[in-house]
Amino acid sequence: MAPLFFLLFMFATAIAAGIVGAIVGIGGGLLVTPVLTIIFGVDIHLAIGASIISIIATSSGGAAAYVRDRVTNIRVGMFLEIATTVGAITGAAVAAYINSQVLFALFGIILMLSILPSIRKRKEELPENVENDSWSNKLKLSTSYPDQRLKREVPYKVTRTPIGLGIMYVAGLISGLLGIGSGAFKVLAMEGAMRLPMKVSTTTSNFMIGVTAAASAGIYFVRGDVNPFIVAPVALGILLGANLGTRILLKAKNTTVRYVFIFVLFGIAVEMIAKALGVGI
Amino acid sequence: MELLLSRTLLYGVLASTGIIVIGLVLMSASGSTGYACDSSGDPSSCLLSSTDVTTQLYPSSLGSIFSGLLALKPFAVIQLGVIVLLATPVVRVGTSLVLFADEKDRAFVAITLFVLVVLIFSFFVVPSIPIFKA
Repeated sequence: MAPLFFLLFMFATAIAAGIVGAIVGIGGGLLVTPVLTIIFGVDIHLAIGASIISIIATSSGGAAAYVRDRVTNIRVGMFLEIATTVGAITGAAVAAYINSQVLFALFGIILMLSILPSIRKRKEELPENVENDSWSNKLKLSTSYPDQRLKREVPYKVTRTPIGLGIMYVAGLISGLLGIGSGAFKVLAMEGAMRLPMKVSTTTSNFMIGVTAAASAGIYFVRGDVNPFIVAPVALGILLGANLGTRILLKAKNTTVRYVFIFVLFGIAVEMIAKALGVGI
Repeated sequence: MELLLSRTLLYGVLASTGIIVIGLVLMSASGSTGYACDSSGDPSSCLLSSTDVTTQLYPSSLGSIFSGLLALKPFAVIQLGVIVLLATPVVRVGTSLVLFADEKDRAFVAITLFVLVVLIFSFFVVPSIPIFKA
């Protein structure tokens, strides 16, 4: 196999992963990891290292545009990051001692179950009848965002913040333990529990996943899980893809973003269950 | 607030991209990676984990990256670009801290400071604790 083939193939894969990841608020790892392990037979530890880098690349690559266009809710993101970072360190630290197959199974099942409420909400463009809870009032989390598709400023409220915080700790834990997949939980927590609009949920998740991944990246890096030959094309591809993805999201409808999210959710769930069953992806 | 934050992220991303590209150019120009694997021939040796073999396939500590940079080894340059990328979320949190302090938002200064400390702790303290070094 020529080295150029590997580099270009991973670059192309990473672009696709970056586009989708930036739209739905997850890291690009879900596409990159299986390609590395199934097609190129790369060791799972190196794939996880590449996945962590993918997540940070998707986040930083997309967040620049989302923050500038005021869709990301920085206060909500920063506040919830208290829980995700602590969870991520704990998870990464004990990752070597945990049987990941059980975790993958659990994770896959939870994601599968989460698809149902998302489908029920599929026609909902913006959340209705939401009131702030005491936390969001005190921390001034509620605000508005400019929606390019609806062509207006959309005000929204934030509720059930403590539940969101709890789910974020688990999301961080999973991210640190398994090296992938906490973005889905973040979007579900913000959109489902805290009732933020879909585009705000995915862009804020995009903002957050970088910090969560960074909290466990140091540990994976010194363990030798980050291989530059693999990571170079992946990082570059994802950065490019995320940039393209942001342009798509900003002009999309909230319902469209949700449809893509449900589709991706299904893909991740299948992947998780496959891993649980010992299929080495 | 938003513009400064987004610019910080953008510069970090551009710097990281630039350094990684330089590393790749060095790698193809010199036909080697600077380490034990051969990237000009069959690269399967480059897809191995560094803990698998006794010779170093790529640097994974700050010290080895630094010495690799001094020798202009392509893989060391790429790892530097990766570290810059890893730093972007941290720098972003740091920038937010400054901005919240400027707005005199005490609650969020505390929140952001906590996140920043946890992050720095994860980069510098935890990796050196032997029990976590698999």
